[in-house]
Amino acid sequence: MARFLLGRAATLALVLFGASLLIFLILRALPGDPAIAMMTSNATPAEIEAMRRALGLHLPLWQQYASWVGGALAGDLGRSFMYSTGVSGLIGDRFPVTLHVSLMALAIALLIAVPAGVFSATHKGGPIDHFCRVFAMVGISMPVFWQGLLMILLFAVMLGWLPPGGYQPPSAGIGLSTAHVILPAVALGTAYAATITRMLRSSMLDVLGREHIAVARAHGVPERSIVWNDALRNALIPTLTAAGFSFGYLLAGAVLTEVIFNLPGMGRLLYESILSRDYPLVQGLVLLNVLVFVIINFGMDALYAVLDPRIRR
Amino acid sequence: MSAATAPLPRRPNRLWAVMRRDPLALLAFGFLLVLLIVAIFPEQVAAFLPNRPSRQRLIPPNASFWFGSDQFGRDIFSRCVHATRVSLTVGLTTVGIAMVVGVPLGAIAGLRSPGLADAAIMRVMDILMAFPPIVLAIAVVAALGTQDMQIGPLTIPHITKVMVVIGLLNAPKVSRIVRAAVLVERNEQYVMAERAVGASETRILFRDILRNCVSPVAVYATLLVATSILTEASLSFLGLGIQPPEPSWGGMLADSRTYVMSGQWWLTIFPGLLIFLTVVAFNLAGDLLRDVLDPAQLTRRGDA
Repeated sequence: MARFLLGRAATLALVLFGASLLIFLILRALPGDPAIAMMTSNATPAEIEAMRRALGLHLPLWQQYASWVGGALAGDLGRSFMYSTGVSGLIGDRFPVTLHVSLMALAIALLIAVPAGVFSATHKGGPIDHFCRVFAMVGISMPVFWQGLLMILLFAVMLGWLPPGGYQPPSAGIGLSTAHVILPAVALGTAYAATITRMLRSSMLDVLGREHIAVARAHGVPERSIVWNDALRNALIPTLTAAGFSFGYLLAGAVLTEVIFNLPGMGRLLYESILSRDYPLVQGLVLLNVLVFVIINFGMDALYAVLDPRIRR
Repeated sequence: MSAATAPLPRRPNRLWAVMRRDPLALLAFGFLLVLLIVAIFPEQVAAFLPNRPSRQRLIPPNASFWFGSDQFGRDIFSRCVHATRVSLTVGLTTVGIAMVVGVPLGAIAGLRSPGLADAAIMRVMDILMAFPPIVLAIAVVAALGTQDMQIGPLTIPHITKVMVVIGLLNAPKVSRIVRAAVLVERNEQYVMAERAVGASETRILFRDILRNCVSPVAVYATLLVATSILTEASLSFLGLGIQPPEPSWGGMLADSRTYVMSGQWWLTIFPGLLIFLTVVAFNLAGDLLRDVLDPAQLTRRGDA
């Protein structure tokens, strides 16, 4: 067990190192000089050179990389060109918004997917199953930005029930805050719900076909208890790990939803920083995204190893 | 593993049998066929040129503007038709790129596993897969710029860059699937038998192993077309993909954002509907292909 986790941790460190190198190189090797981008068009070469020095762009590449990673390990991701403040602080400001929407999306997804996946499996081939499978197909294929626009059109413009965008923190009142977050959360959660429904359905079908379920049935255990206790508990293991793996995609989907709904989260910050070539900000945000993604995957691997002893080598 | 115990009908018959059971898949294939024709002959299908402006701005759907007109008085139907070619080209080309890069790497990794080459290839793939897909695509495309790129005498159009980026981002998944399939096939008895009679490694790889990896790869490729079209549409929506005034479904949706608030719904509905239906059709086709090529999977699917 310890050896398994240690091996995973080594891979994790390697992946993070490689990813940070890749992020750094992609943004440096590509055309465009941030020093020029930051100046007005009538800046003299001397001024541009001074700016390059101030930004540390005159140093050899490996020194730039080393100082960036060294700082990142200490929690300092450098200064944003665009906002002229620390990147870590900027991310800290925006992170709660993305987390709020993502957790809400996760809750919505589970609320839909668990009953849908279970009933779909227990009523295999019936109308409920067909309905759930159509829902899953629609959810997986739905472009999140189109769904967002459609919901704005319906709920904000035509019905006028909900605001079309913007953000209110929970401290401004739960009702107001939820009204602002619910549409983006649904847009983000639909695809996720569809994915989980599919996985849960297939693993429920798998578990329900096993011998211990047949034995339980033979002993006269009520069907409801078999489905919701014995089968679901077993089927949730692979489903939750897979759901964890795709939680990283929720963070990625945040870019599109936050742009559409005008949410001041990390996704829109990433989008804006890319458009303005704010290298330190882009680097910091992408690195953080990778970090969260990789750590969730590591956590899921570990969880899986705890729950299923067979995969510990 | 793939050897079925009960005799199965031959492939064409099986395709027909599965299709008859699944009218939705039949519909999906029909839709894809129509899309293909539209993509090949857009001038014949569309009534107007995609960028032809007119004074009839923001007109709701009617007899001459089937999908309505946009803020410049351009016919949305004609723009949607011309955008079909772009989307399908991007979808198919990126998958081609992903295959060309991913299949050989996966095959080498699988054959040399466990070993240095395998470890090196798979760790690089691990690193690439650590990026949430759209985030890396956005970062790379934005860093490359949205203009055409000049390398010596060569001009690389922006759309080519987009296709290469999306294709490369998908290569790791392809190589993982190929590697897994090769690992399974490598230890099958027929390969050992070939080796025992002295067949060369290349012959075994190309004639036997890769041939048996075709099914999972074909299924994945079809599903990947759907994902790639969605990625291109997302990039275009963010203004990083196909550049206006060139029509693209994602770009048209980006334009429509301004008019959502004033209730001009037709700008939003039609391009989005086309993205959605195309992605559904490719997803259904992939599922159908899985049922046809690998009946053993029928009972244990759902690996989304």
